[in-house]
Amino acid sequence: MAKNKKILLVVEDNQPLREVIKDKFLKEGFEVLEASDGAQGLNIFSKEKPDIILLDIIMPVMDGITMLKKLRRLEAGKKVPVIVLTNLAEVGITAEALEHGVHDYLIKSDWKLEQVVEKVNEKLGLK
Amino acid sequence: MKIRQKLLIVVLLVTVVPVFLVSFLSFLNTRDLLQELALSSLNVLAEFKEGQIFFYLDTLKTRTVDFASDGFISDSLEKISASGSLDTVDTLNSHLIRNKKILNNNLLNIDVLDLNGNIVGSTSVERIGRENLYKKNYFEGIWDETLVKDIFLGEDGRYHLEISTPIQTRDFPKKTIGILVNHYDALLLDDVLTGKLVLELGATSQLGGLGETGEIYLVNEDKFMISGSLFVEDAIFRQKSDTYPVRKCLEDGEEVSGMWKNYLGVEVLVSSMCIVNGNFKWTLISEQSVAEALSPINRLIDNFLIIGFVGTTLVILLAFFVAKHLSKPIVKLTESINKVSGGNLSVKMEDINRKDEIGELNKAFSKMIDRLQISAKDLEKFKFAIDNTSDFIAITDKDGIVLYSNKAVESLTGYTIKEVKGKKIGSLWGDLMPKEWYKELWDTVLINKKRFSGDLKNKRKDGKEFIAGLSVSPILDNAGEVVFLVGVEKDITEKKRVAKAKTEFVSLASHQLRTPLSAINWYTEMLLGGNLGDLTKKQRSYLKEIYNGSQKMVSLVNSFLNVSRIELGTFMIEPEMASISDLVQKALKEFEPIINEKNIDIKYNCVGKCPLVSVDVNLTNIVLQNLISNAVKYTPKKGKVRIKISQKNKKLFILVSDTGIGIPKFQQEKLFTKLFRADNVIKVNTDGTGLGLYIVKSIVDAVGGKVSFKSVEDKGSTFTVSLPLVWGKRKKGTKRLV
Repeated sequence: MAKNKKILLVVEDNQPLREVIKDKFLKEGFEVLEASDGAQGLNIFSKEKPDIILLDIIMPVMDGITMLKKLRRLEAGKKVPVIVLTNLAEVGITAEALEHGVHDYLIKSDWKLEQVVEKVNEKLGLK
Repeated sequence: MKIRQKLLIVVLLVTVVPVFLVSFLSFLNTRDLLQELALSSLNVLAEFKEGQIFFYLDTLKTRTVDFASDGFISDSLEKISASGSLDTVDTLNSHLIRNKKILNNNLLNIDVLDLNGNIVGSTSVERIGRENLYKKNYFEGIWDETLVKDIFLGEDGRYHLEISTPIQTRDFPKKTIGILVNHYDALLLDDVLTGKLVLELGATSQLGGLGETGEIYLVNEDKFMISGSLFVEDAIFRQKSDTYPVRKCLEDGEEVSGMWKNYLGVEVLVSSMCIVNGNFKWTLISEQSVAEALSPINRLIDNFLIIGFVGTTLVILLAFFVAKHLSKPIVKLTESINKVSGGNLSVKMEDINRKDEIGELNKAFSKMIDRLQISAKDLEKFKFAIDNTSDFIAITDKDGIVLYSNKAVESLTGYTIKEVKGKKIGSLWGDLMPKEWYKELWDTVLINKKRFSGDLKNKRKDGKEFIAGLSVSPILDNAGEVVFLVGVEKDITEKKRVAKAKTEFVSLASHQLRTPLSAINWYTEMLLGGNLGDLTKKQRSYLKEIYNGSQKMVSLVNSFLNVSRIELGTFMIEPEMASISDLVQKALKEFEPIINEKNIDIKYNCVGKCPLVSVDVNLTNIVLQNLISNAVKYTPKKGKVRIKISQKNKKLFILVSDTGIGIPKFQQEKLFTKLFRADNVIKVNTDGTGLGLYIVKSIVDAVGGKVSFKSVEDKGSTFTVSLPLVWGKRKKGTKRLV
């Protein structure tokens, strides 16, 4: 593990899911920041500058796509890797997300946490 | 031009024209003949009259000579010449007067001249002692001849014809001692010419044939008439006749015969005779007006006209009847045809009972109408159906101008058929789509000449927007040119809304179902991973069951999602380059645990080189997953599964065979139906969904492939899928199958 812990921002409205993701990544040696909607996510991103973001789509207050768009408009948010982790398999949304530079689009129920960690590491160039 | 008129013209040309031609030619002939005849009779008459004139003059001469040989006259003249005795003069005068009466009523005067030309004795006493005006003539070398003088007007106002002859002594040798001059009345010549005198002289008949306008007259050297005219009173020495025949006679001494103008300017046929004497030149003219001479020809013309008129009338009538006979049925037929073309198909054909071509034509037309009536009925039904069908159907020309619209246009757009007809299609309610969209439409149907299908947004007359499903087909002629466009349009707003609602529901439902499943998955994963401390064997085993159950739920949810998308037709096809070998390997990897568990012998190979393909990776994966899953699931432990990839004729063949339980023969035909599970399968495995092969077949059908199988119960099954090596145009659905 690198000395400087990588910071992961999990934007997820479902508390149990957010918790298990956090536990998993803490175990994997990440520093984990949590947000329960897009607006919070943006807020935290501006303050903490995470290395990577796991982003849900359907959330109250501000959904994932809206947050993504706003994020990409920020100077610091232009290049940060974003992996969409959602249960919504809608082509239109997938396309929209890809347009705004998400690095992967994962369906929660089809992916083990272990595999999600692998994807994150891959995007951070840790593997 | 109508048949009747044509026929008339033809018949007239054929009959009347030759008749008129013949008439005209015979008219010309007859006229020449008549003219010739008239001229020759004029000529004969002229010659005859000339002869009479000569004869008459000779008679007068003879009489004069006889009278001059009277001894008393010569004796008296000798005495007067010798002594100049007045008594003797008186005696001579009395003798002359006495004899004048005896000689001829027409003898105007008798003069006796001495050798000096002086009148020494006369029936007119007052003339004695004068000089005879013409003495020169008598004495210049023509002593011994009997002469006729040209006619002149005497002092007494009468016309004189002088005849002179020498008076000689009684004793031989005879010696001329004076001249005897007889003055005859020149009007006698008139009588000769008219024939009056001829009768007197004993001829049996008058030579006629001159009709009412014909006359014979004499013209003297000064071109004055010296005999009477039928038409001019007191013509003698007053009426000039300066005509061609007269001039010809005077100038050239030529006698002519022909047609000229006479002294009155009337066109006449003339025959002339030149009567030449030492003292005068007369022209005898025998003439008759052309009008009269040729009058028989007028009768001929009249006859021709009557015959021509009657003939022509008959011919016209005949032609008229023939034409009517010919054209009447045609006119009737035309009336019927006009009614038919006017749209009245219930026309009852007139029964034209004829056995000629017209009858045949009528029969043929009757048949045609029958046929037309049948097809018109069909067409009516057809039109009724189209008029009243619920989809909006329009026919336009190639510029998109509406030629026909059915009633559905009103319910769809709110505009009436009247408002739409003649306008460019869609101009009232369209134009809400991007320009490129319409360009693609017109390019497809007009340039590529293919059918165009698409959904578009339109605006009703009341301003409400709606979504329409549109299909436009070009109708081509034999040369392949676009003649019409047929458009079918229907309101699919509701359909779209329902579809969208369904899609949203499915999306949301799957999302909602997956979220708790994800929680179960991940928490058991964490527990099983030992992240929360060691687990007892029993605990581990329980957790695994929870995990497996959850996994099955996930795959069930995915299947349901796929089926609903297939049925809504909203799944998308996005071909991309891929290696089929990679796709098979990836699919196999997912089944590694169960393969290892059941110790199944599984192999795959490509016949020849493993091909590169252009397919939708996601859909191909679903197909492979389902086939491999079934093969592995229903093959007993230590069974065999073989996957063979090959290509032929631009097609990719995927063969998956197993040594599994197979499909009962009696259920094989239901295999691809939704939710179907074979009896033997249900016994072995209770958690299948009956959706897998249904999804496979739906995908394969959608991309133009085929799926088939061979199976023997308890022996195994072989599934063969053929897919295009290169999948066509991407199908824009809205959902990705998962």
